[in-house]
Amino acid sequence: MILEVENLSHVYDFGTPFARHAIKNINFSLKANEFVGIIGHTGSGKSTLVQHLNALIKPSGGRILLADEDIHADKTKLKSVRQRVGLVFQYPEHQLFEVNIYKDVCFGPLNMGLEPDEVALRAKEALQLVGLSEELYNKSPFELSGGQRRRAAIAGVLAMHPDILILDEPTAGLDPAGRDAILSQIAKMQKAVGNTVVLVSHNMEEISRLVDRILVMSAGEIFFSGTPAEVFSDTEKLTAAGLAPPPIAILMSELRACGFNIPSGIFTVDAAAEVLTSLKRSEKREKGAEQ
Amino acid sequence: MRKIVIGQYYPATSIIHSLDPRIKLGGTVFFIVTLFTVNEWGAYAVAISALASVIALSKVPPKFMFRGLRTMFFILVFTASLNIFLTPGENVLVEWFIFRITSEGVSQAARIGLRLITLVTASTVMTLTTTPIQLTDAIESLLSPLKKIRVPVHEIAMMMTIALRFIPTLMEEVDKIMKAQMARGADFDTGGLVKRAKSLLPLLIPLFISAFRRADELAQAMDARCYRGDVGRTKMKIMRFARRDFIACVIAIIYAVALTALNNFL
Ligand SMILES: Nc1ncnc2c1ncn2[C@@H]1O[C@H](COP(=O)(O)OP(=O)(O)OP(=O)(O)O)[C@@H](O)[C@H]1O
Ligand SMILES: [Mg+2]
Repeated sequence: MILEVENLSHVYDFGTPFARHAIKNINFSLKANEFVGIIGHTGSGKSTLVQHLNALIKPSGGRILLADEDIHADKTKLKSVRQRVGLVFQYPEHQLFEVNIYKDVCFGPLNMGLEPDEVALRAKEALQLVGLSEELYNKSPFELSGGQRRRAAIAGVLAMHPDILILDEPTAGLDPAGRDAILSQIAKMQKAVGNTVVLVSHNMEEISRLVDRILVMSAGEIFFSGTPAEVFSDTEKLTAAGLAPPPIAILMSELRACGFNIPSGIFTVDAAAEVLTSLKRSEKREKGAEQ
Repeated sequence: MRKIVIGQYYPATSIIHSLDPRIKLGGTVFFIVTLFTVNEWGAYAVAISALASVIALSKVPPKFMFRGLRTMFFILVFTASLNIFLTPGENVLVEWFIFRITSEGVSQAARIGLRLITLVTASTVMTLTTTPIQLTDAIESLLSPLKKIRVPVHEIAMMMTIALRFIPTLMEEVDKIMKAQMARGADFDTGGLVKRAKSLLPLLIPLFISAFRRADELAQAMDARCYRGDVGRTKMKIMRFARRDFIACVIAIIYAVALTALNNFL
């Protein structure tokens, strides 16, 4: 258990007519080396929740334990909390500020007070990880495409070597190829380094392929959670949470309703193809046996 | 964050909220002017009870009214003490060293203090019940005679409206960028002056970039909708005097008459 969230709740603009209960009764924990997905409709509180995890927002109620220590217990340790829990914001490309992306990636490690050699090493490694080649290091953020800027911003957090990496919709607004590239790099890195990754996303399909566990948020609460197979086969609950289940999951549950013998937990095209072909084969076999 | 932003507006449905913003703006100015003519305690009582009735009608919780006073506190204390010590008079209450407090001084200080409090509260009531956009609309409308002498009233009002519209957006942006840089270990509030100024760069640069981007996009969007300034432009929300606005005017006149009477003839 490297991170535990207990009874977390947050009210924005408390004590004003604009007060708003953004999240409430949040309980969950993250294990080392786990890949967790968070999904939920727009405004369900995903971004608010993840900003609590690295102490950027103070909870209105409840607490967050990082390695059994309340992250707000010691103010002088906030910086170290933010280094151990790395957060990549929604649309992070807007935060680039340096003259070139290499320098921008160095910002985090420099703030940690690392030696220049170590900083350079980490920056290069992080840029490589997100797939930015060396010719681009000296380019200004203005000269890059949106996707390249996004990668540079992600590298800026990776270079801090967080134990827990949180990505808030890292692929929003990218083309499918760029999306797959970024996600597969992250998955590869997670396997190689063995850190914990939390991925916030609207895209069920991309989440289903990568994560071990999914938290479904709705109206500021964790509505339900489970493995991708459990979550995506429960099309009713997903719909109740204001989410569209993956199309394949809908197809499978309709076929099941028509009397076909289809196991639950099928939500990718590949798995569906496998099940359907085996179904067809067994049907043929039965027919052959009848004749 | 957002609370600073929306200014002071307190959303509610009340007769005061739905009054024409021109009436509210004109009425507030009128009320403040009348306050300066007031000198008698009876007239103060009328002015304060008039203000209290408006507050009651506005359905805004009274605690919001006095928020504006907090920032005024120093000026209030300063003015009152000047008056206490510097008003000449006969009835000396306390005398010590070069200081002497007279009963005239105390009474004068109380009156000035009361006047200041009433004045600030009156303008607070207006901003609490009128959105900034309504207010600029009212200013544009009230200043429109100046168009005759070529004052670009519409353009000034449009600039004010746009600026007001983008304050919340920019505040949100500041909040977001600040958090994002803090997530990368940035430190905005420790260190010496030079270090602090330097630490603002990671905040200011993205902020300016996005402000310019937004300005550019807004200009294009306005262009695409054929905005070309004041001439021939119609309004979506036309300000029209309703019956309640005439009633408000009548009440204001009665109030002024009562005040003058109390001031001069009692
Ligand atoms: N800085 C803020 N001040 C006030 N209210 C906020 C703020 N940020 C978010 N909220 C409100 O809190 C609620 C949750 O917002 P949040 O950004 O966490 O949602 P989300 O799940 O990340 O949505 P999305 O999928 O659109 O990113 C929303 O109703 C939003 O209006
Ligand atoms: Mg979000």
